[in-house]
Amino acid sequence: MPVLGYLVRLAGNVADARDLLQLTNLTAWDKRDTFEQGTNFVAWMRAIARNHYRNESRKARSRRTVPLLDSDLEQMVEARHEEREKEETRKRRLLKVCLEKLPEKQREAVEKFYLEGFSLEDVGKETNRKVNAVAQVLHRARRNLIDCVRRQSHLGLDRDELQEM
Amino acid sequence: MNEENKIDDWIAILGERPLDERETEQFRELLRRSPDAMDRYLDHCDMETWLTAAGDSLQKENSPSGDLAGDLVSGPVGIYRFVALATAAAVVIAAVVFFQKKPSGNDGMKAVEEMESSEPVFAAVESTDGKRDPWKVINATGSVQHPGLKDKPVPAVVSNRPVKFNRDIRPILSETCFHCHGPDEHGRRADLRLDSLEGATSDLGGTVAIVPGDLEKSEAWWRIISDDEDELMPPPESHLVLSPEQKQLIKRWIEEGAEYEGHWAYETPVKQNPPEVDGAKNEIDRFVRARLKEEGLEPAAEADPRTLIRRLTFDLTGLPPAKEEVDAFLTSYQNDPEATWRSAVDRLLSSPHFGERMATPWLDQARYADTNGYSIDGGRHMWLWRDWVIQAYNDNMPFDQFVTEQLAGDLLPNATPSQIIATGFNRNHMITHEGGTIPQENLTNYAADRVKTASEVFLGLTMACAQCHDHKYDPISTKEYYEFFSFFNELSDKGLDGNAGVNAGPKIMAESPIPDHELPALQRELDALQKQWRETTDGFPAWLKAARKEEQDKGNDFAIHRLTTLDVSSPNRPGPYEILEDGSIFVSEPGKGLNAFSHAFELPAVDSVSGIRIAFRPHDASGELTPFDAGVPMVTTVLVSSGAQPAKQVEIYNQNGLAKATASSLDANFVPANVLDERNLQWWQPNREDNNPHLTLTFAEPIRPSESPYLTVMVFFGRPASLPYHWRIDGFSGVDSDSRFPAHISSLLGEPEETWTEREKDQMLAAFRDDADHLEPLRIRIANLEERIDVLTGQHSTMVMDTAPRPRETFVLNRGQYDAPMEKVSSRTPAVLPAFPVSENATRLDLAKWMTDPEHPLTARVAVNRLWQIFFGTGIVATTADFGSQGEWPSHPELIDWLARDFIDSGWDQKALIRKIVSSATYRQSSEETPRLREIDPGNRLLARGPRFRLAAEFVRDNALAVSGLLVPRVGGPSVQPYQPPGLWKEVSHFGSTPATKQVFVQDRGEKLYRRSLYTIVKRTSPHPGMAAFDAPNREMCITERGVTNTPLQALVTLNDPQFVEAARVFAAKLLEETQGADENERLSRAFEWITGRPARDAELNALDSFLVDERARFEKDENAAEELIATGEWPVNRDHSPVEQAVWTQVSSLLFNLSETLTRL
Repeated sequence: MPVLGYLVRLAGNVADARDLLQLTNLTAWDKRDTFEQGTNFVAWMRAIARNHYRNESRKARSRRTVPLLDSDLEQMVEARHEEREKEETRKRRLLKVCLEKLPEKQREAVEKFYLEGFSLEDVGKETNRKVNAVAQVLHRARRNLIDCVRRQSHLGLDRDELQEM
Repeated sequence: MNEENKIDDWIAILGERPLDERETEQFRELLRRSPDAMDRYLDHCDMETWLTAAGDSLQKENSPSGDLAGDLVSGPVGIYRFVALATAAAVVIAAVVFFQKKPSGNDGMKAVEEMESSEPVFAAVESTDGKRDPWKVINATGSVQHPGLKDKPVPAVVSNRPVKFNRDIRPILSETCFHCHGPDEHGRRADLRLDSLEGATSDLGGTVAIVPGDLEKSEAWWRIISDDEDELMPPPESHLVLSPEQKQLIKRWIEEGAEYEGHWAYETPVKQNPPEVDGAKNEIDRFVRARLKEEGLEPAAEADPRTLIRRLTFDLTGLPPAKEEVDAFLTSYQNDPEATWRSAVDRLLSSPHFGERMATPWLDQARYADTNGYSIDGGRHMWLWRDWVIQAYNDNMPFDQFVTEQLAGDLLPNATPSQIIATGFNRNHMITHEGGTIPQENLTNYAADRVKTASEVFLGLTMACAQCHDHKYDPISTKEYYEFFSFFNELSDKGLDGNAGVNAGPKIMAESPIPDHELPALQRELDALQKQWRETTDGFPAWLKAARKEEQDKGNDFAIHRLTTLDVSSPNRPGPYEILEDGSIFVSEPGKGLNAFSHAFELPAVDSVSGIRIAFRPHDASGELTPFDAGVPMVTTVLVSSGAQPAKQVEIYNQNGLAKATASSLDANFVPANVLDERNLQWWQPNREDNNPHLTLTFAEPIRPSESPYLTVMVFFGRPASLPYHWRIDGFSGVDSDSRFPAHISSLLGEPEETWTEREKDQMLAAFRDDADHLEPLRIRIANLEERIDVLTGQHSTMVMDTAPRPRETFVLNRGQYDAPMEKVSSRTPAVLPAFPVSENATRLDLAKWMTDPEHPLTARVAVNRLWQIFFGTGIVATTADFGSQGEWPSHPELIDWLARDFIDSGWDQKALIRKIVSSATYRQSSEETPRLREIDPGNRLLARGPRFRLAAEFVRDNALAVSGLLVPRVGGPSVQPYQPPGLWKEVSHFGSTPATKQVFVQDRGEKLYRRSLYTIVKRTSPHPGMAAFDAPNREMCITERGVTNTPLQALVTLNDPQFVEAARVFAAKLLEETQGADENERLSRAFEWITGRPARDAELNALDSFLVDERARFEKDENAAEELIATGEWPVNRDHSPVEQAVWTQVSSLLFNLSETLTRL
């Protein structure tokens, strides 16, 4: 997941990140002998991932001509991500609660798409909706989850602080 | 919070497609500059990752689906295990390489702490779902929400007419769909364009938005009727809604073949044959009545003749008809209405007041003002251009020439001064010279204003919307905006200019285009009055006696009192200064610019203080009073206020008046009395030889320190190089020891008349003529006449357009920022309009020719619509400045096209068109409203009755002046400054710290108080309150349509403004004069008829009568109040009738001037 997360941050969307992850895995397998035991495995994987990302950008698929982030921004994003890692744990824990609080339609879509691994089209067929409608539902669901997790973690923060006193 | 929403939007787009270069840069910029945006981005990335990872791990486990919560059950799974498992799920290789364990168990996710929370978190979160995406929301629901259109939509019987795209469908699509599915590429969502047939019918991944004739297959239809909020179009968060009627229309349209039409206003107008109807006087009636018939309505009967002549006169001249004109009209109309009407129209169209009337709305559109605007708002001179406009209308200049001369008069071959003056149209915008503003930015703003004005005024296009991004609704790109901008960016104006009352370049000196027929009469009167003034000795003995006494009283009980200086301040940079021990002010290095000093004093405990003396001392070392060549201080004005509290600044609304100014010496034209005028135009300076000069000011009322122990004095050294080293201000009691007369007069006054030589006698008479109060009106009259002659014969400055030797280049500006130029462009017009024939080095003249091409779809329609608006209150297209996609479909499309074509064919003849309009039966209908009409057509868009609306601000005042006989009908000339509350300008201006003019209001005198209101000075930061109350705009930007408000402030103006009260009392005196011997009732009737134009009804007379009785009782008890009332304004008080009677009838007249009927053009 650290690699997936990294790719998501580079690409800005999970579909591309997943494709890149596949490529990354293949390369990592091919080049597994070049990995030095005892060195940072994740960093090694990330380097491979980043190269794949850069290559794909350069291929100018459809209308994309430049990568989403430039090198300076990449560093800024990663730096900020690291700062947040401490909080990340707490927030991730709240995911369950927040998932339960989603409205029925959104929860169903999240379950199907993420947890059951349906494609957008399949989710659409299951729920009798068009693909971009499904995408919209997921977008709203994610926003709700983000906001919920943030709220809950603030509440949690207070509690933790209280407990420490 | 804004930035988070933006990130949400970007994520949504990234889910659909990659970003292009420009979008990527914007996105990156957002991340770089906003920590909140960065965090939101990471929130999204994290969430996606977590959900994906959770899913992947669960899938690898073949965990039973269904109970998600169960799957997330807590268990003792450490975080690293989770990480490992998640990684393992995604990266099989890593598991092989690194981890030996195989993932096991149902628990793919780490323990989730159960949080007890009573707060309905998702309820809160749900509401954030309705958080508005600012860039996506258009603040409207339903269709065509132009301000004002909601109030006067065009009624239509929807069901039985075939659906017409431009009338019925386009407004709906434009308002509710184009923001995301319109011409703007960057705002476009889902790749769908609904503004063209091609776009609407294209196959987007298997679905087609609109299939002509087939509702079932039209995805757009399913979306707009969906009750699934995720599918619904327009989406809920846009806050746009389609009403059931609109959905019906769309349905019908699709079923009937989904026909698209090009935007109506971009296609050349076609003259169709007007339909046949009864009772039509001309083509206008044919179209209007045919439409009425469609709606099942009858036209109204003709208005009665009294109403007609009043309506016509106001509409064509902005003035009420004179009594004789009304009587003549009524008599003649009985015998031959059409001929009478024709001759009245002819008479009024040839009146010079016609030009004044037509100029009034044109000045709004051209944003004419007498000051520069922005903060300093100093004076400028553009009245020559106003004169040009008035004369152009009076000469019936063809409209195409009218446009051409204003846009490009300077570029015409052998351009005459008049044609160059006309180009001032493009210089009327605001300008600034203020240091600290950025010249380049200013120049950009000026050109942007010219684009906005020219496009709205001539083309009815809101091009200003494309200054920063492609137009959202009309096919005008930002690049095309700057191509148009380029026409107006080639002149030699500077980014900082226009200070000290001097016009900003480019400018010329020229004569006024107003004809000078009045010159002989002016000259005759002037000669006569000057002779009179040179020879008059009326009142000399009395004056002499008073003057001698003044001289004798000089210095009576005169005593100087030291004041305690509490504080001294100056707004500009006067140089270092300090308060010395004796309370005097010492400036060691006086600054070169103008400077005002405000002093706060405490008064000594004496009985009363009559005034102040400002004494100047030379510098110890050099012996000079100032370090400058002139060697003398120059004082332009002094302001004083006093009160129970100390004040560092003079209280401008509580100033102590100054009765007299004297000095120890004076130099030629720089007399102490100049200080009493608060402007910088004149000043006092002492004689060079006077080493210890002083200036003494006597208050109008002595100050009593026991009541007002604190005094504030502002001394304005309002000239360059006028600031002295050293001065002290003392108070004095008793009578000023100096004389207000020049030295030689002063000494003569001390000697008996017999001892005077002939020459001395003449000198004394000259002093008398300059000074005597009762000769003031004569002096004023002479000054006004001299000025008027100069206006007609002299050369005056005016701003114009030119072409710089090396014109500026124009670039597309990124987001409209002056400092972000992108590609260079050259002058061109938008591609959606007829092709622009010049490919290189196009000029404003080319633009004007293009605009006035007979095939141009917009210019004539817009012009015709504006003229229509003048006479009917609302245009055929109500959105008079917007003929684009968001504008209104015309209420009578065939009519406006017919009139536009006819206008062009007639040679763009404005008077001819006006004649046609006012000759129609439609115009002449009675304006009475029936309950049925009010329900069906409250805005009178179908014209089932005559037009009725309140008089424009200017004509409200003109009416009062005209009826009372005070109106001075001279045409043209510089702006005048009639009555207004004192201090308004000083309050907002930079008075005391700038050489700019028009910072302090000084009222004009004599006939300049009674000119037509379009000549009343327009100061942008402080428009005349009486005008503003009646919705006159402040002219900061162009206005094509005034609002019409209805507030009590208007009644306050008509009942209390000195201008109106004076008009009422002068009218009252005239009434008493002309109805001598009549009884009260008769007098009331006459007053009523004179003011409203019709005879009073009995009920009205009764009401007036009881009012009369009350007022008489009131004034009989209080004659002082009567005296005060009839002395309002500067017009001489009538002494032929008793003050009480005059006061009573003043009140009656005031009431009549304030009637709704008087203020409405019926």
